[in-house]
Amino acid sequence: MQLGFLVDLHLCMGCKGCEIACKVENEVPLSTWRLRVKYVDVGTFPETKRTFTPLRCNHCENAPCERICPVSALHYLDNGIVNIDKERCIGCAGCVMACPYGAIYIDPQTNTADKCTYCAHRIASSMMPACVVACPVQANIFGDLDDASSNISKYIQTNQGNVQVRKPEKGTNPHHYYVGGGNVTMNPLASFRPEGHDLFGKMTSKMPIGGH
Amino acid sequence: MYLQSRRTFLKGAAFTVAGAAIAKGVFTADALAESVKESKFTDTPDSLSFYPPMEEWADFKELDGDDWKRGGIERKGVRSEENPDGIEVNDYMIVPTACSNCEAACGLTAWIDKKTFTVKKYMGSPLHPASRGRNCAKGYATQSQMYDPDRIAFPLKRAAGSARGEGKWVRTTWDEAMTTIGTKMGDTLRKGDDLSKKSVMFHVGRPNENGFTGKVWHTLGSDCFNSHTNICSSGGRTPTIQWANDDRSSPDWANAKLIFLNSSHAADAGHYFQQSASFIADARAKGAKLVVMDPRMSNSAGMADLWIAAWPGTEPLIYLYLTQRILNEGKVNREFVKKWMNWEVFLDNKAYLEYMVQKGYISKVPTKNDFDAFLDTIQELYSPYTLAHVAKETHVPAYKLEELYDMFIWAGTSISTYFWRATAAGNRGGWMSGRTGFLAIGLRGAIGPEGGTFFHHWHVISVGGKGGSATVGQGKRGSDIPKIDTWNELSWPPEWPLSTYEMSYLLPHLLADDAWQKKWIDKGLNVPQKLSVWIPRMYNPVWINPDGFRWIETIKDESKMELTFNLSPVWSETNWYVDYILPVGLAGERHDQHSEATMPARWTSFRQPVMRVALEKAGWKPKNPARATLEAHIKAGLGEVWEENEFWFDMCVNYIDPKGDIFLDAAKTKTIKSMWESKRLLVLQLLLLSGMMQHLVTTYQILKLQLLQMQDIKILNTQYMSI
Amino acid sequence: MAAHEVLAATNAVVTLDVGIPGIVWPWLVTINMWAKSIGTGVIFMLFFLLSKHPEKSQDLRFPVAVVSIVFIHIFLLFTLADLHQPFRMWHIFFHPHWSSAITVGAWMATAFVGLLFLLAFLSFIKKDNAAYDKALLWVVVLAVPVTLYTAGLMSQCTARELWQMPAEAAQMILAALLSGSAFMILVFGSKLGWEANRNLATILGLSALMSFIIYMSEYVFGPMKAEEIAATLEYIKGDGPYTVMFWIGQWMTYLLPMLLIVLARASKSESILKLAAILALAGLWVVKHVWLMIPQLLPMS
Repeated sequence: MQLGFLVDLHLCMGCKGCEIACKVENEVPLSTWRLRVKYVDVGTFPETKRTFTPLRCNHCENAPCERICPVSALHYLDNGIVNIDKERCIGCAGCVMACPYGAIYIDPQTNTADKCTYCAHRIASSMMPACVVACPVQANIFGDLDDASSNISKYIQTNQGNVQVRKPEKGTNPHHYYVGGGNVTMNPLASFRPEGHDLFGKMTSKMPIGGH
Repeated sequence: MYLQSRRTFLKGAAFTVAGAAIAKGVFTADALAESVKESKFTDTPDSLSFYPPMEEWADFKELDGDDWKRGGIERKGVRSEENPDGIEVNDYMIVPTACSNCEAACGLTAWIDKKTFTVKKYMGSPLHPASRGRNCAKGYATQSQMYDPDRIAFPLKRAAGSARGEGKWVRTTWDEAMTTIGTKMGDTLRKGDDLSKKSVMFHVGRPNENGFTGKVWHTLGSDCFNSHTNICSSGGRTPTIQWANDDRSSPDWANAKLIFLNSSHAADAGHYFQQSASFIADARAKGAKLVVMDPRMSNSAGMADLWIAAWPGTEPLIYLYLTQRILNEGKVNREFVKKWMNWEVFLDNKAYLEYMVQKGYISKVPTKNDFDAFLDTIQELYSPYTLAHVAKETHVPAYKLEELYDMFIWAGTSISTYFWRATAAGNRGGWMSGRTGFLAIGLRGAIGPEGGTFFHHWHVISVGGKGGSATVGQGKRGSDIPKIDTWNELSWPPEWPLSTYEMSYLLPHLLADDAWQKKWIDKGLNVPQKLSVWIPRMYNPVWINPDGFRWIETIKDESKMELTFNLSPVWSETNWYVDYILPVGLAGERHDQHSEATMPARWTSFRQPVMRVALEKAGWKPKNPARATLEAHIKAGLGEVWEENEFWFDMCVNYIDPKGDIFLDAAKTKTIKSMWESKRLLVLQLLLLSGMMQHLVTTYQILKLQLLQMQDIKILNTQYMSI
Repeated sequence: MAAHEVLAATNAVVTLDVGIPGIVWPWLVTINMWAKSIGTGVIFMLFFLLSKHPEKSQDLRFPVAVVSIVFIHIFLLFTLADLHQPFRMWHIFFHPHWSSAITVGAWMATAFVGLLFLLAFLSFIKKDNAAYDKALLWVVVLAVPVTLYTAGLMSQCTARELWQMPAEAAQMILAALLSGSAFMILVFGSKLGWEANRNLATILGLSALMSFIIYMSEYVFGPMKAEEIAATLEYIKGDGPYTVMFWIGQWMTYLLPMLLIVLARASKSESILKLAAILALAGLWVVKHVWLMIPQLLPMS
C-alpha cells in the first residue's frame, strides 16, 4: 500500500476549508500550518487570474527528512506515510533544512518537528484525511497508488499529460500530485513574494530556545 | 546526487547498536503488536470512508490526532488496559446538526468525546443532500467558536447606576432578565392601543432559520418586526419580486452550461457559499463556463473563464447589451417569452406606450397587438445599447463583451445566475442589475429548465416561517392568530411605499427626527416617537450599518429606546450599548428548522443542541423540560447558553403575559399566553380548579396519555433520532 | 528580489500566504562549525609541526590537546543549545539512525573527544610522548571525517541547493587548515620560531587561496547551473541583505590574510602574521555565517 494525494487545481477555489479542517483535526498550533493554500495572482489587468495551490507534505518515497533525521523521529509507515514522533524528536531542525518543500515546522508547544501526517490516525481508523472530507469541491483525491483501480490512480490515468509534482529534479519521488499545475503554482521562484505586504507575511510566533 | 531506495533506508534504520534500544524493543514489541492486532486499527486498512456508518454514530472509536504525534500505533500501539502508553482512542458520539455561520445551513456532525463530554470537532453531515458531507472553513471553525474563552457564558446586565456604553456589566440570571424584560414588554403591550403595537421591536440580524421568531411577533399582536435586509439583500430581492413575485433566485448550478455570476458564489462568500461552490465545481467539471462580473478580482473572478470588471454601477448596461443583441439577432426564445412574459399587458397599456413615445424611447405606439409587435417594440426600445456605447460606459473591452454574448447564446437555456450581494448589496440603484439581468435571461428562456435559474420559494420548506401553526393554540395554519390592523411607520415610513422590506437602516434617524415625526402625526398617523423595547438578534448595526455613530447615539438614548437587549452569543460593538446581553447558542447549541434553496429540490436541516442530545442519550433528564437546552448546557460546562425557541415559549407563557390578560382580539378570547401555552397544563388547571376529585383517576390517565403525546411531540421537535 | 524572469504574461505575485519559517539554524550553528574547524584544525597543525618542526613543537602536545578539547566542547555545547530539545541529545546514541550524517557525525565526534582526552592523559599524566604520537596519528585520521561530516550533513539538506558536495567537503577541510594554522600562529607563534611560522603561514595562505577560488567560482558560475542557486546568491549581490557581510568575510578571511602573508614573508614579521591570523579566524565565522544564512532565506514553497 502506498498512500498518495492528488489535488485538482482546476477545481480548488482557495476557500481554506481544508486548512481549518486540518487545524481542528490535528490541533495544529497557531501560526504554524501543516496545510495551506497559497494564492498567486497572474497576469496584468484586464487579463488576470488567481491561482490557488494547496501545499502540504508530499510523503516522498525518498524523503530527505527521513534520511537526515538523526533519531528516526521521522519514519516510514507500511502505508507509505512519513510519520512523526514528538517524543523521539530532539529538535535539531535538520528535517526543516532538508525538506525541499518547506513542509516541516517546529511545533512551538512541543518544541519538536511536526508536519502533515496524511491524518495517519484517521487512516488507521479506516477514515479519510480531514482535508479530503472537508473540501467543498472535492479537489483533494486520496488513495492507494499501488492499486490501479483506486480513485487516485484512475484520476491520474484520466489526466495523463497534465499531472505534476513539485520539484521533481530533487529526486524525492513525492507521492503528492497535482492536476492543472504549472510553473506559477509549482515553482515558488516563479512568483514575486513581497515581504510585509501580504496578510500573513511575517511569522509572529516566538520560536523557543535554540535562538530562532 | 544518487538515489537510494526506501527499502535500503529501512534496513539501515532497523539495525541499532545501542544495547538499551534493542532490549527495550524486544520486551515491549509483543505487547504493542498485540494491542494493535486486538483493535480495529491498522495502518493498512482495506478501505477509507468519508464518514462512519450511522449504525456506529452512538459509539465510534477513532485514534486521536494530537496523541498520534507520539509516533503512531507502530511505535506505541493502541491504548488499552494492558498498554497504557498507547495512542489514545477517542470514544465518540456523533450527533448531527446544522451550521449557523451563514444562512446555508450546511449539515454538521458534532463529534462528542464521551470521556470528557466535550465536542472535539465538528465535521460535515453526509445526510445533507446539498452540503453532501462537505463544509467551508467556517463549519470546522465552529468548534473553536463553541469553546472560545471570550464568548458570553451567562446573561449580562448593565450595572445599576451606570450609563449605556460605560461598559459596566454585572452577571444576572435568565429569570431576572426575563422578568424585567417580560414585565416591560407586557406593560407596553397590555395598553392595547395602536401605538403599543409598534413599540416592542424585534430586529433580526442573522436569522439562522426560516422565520420562526417573526411569527412570534404576530402572536404578540404587534407590527414591530424589523430586519437588516435593507442594507443587505433588498437590492437582490427587489428585481426578483418585480419579475416573479418571489424574492430570491434559485439556480440549478450543477447542470448549468453558463454560470454567470454577478456575485462571488463560485469561490467566495455568497449567500450559500459552500453548497453553491460545490455545485458550480460539478458543472465546471462537466465543461460549464464561469463568467464573473465584479469590479474587484474576487477569488471567483480569479478563477473565471471570463472576468467582467464593469465600472461600478454600470452592470445593468451589460445585461442590456445582451438584450439588444438577442433581440436584434433573432435569438429570442419565442415559446418561453410568449407563454411566460406579460407582453399582452404591456401592449394593452396604451397610455404608457404613448408616454414612452413622448420620452423618445420608441418612435410610435404599436398598431398591432400580437407577439411580433411586442418584439419589434422592445427591439427598438433597447437598440441604444450597442457594443460601442456599453463598452465605453462600462470600461469593459469590447472583445470581452462579445465573448460574453457568445457564451450566453452557447449556453441556451442552461444559464445559472444569482442576484444577491455585489451590485445588489446596499448599493443605490443596485436592484436595476437584477431587473435587467432577468430580462436578458428571460428572453433566452433560461428561467426554470435544467441548468437554468428559478425562484427559491419552490425549493424551500419553510416550517419555521409558519410559526406556531403546528401548535394547538394558534389553530390550523395559524388561523387562530388575530389579524393585526396596524402599520409601523418606523419600519415602513410613508415616504417609501414601494420599499422592499423594512427601511431598517433609517431606524435611528427616524427616532431622532422630531420634525419627521411631527409631519406625519399632523397628517393623522400614529407615528411612534420612541421604542419601549428594542431587541436585536445577532445583529450589530453600530458596525455594519452606515452612520454607526448615529446608532450609538440612539441606542444610548433611554428616551428613544427605553429597554434594549441583544440575543447574542458574543460581544459586539452594538452589545456594548445595550442593557442586557442574553447568550443564545451557536450551531450545535440550538433548535432551528432551516431550509434554503441551494439546489432545485427541497431539503431541510434541523439544527439541534448536540450536548443536550448527547446527555439525554447518556441517561440525563432535565428538571424543567421547557428549559432542557439551558440545563443541558449548564451541565455540559458551556455556561448559561440558551436558545430562542425555548426562550420565546417561556417568555410568552410566563413572563410577558403571565396572567393571560393581554388580549389580542376585541372579543377578548385570545391572549398572548393562550397562543403558546400547552393544552395539557390547561386541562390540569381546569380539572384542579373544578375540584373534581372523582376524576383524579381519569385525570391521571389523561395526564399519562398527554405525557406520552408530549414526549412524542418532543421527539418530533428535537429530531435526535434519525433525520 | 527574484532572479527569475518575470514575463508580462505571468507577472506572478503571491497575494495571500501564511508566514513561512525563515532562519531555522541561526548563528549558534555558525559557532558550531567555526569551533569544530578550529578543534580539528589545531590537531592537523600539531601533527604537521611534530613531523616538520619537532624541536619547536615538543611542548605543544598537551596545550594543543587542551585547545582541541575546549573547542570541540564549544562545538558540542552550541550544538546542544541549538536543539529545541537539548535534553534528548542521548536519543542519538540510543535510537541512532545511520543514514543521517548527524548521527554518524555525533558518534564520531564523541569518539574523537574520547581520543582527545586520551591524548591529554598521555601527555599530562603519563608523559609518554611516543604513545602520544602514535595515538595522534589515529586522532588525525578521525579528525578528517569529523570535520567533513558537516559537509555531508549540508548536502543531505536537499532543500538547500547552494550546499553542494564536493564543494562543501573541500571548504570544510580548507576551513580546518585555515583556522588551525591561524590559531597556531596566533597563540603559539612566538614559541615556534620563524621557519615554523612561515610554513604555517603558507598553509594559511594556500588554504585561503583555494577557499577563495571555490567561493568565487560558486558566485560566478553557480547561477548558470541551477535556478535555486541563482536565487540564493541574489541575497549577496546588489543590495541583498548579506552582500556587505559576504564581502567583509571574503576580505577578512582570504584576501587580506593572503596579502599580509606575502608582506610578512618579505619582512619576516611575525606580528604581521599574527594580524593575518586574527583576521582569518574572525573572518571565517563571518564567511560561514553568510553561507549558512542565505539558503534559509529562500522560500521553499
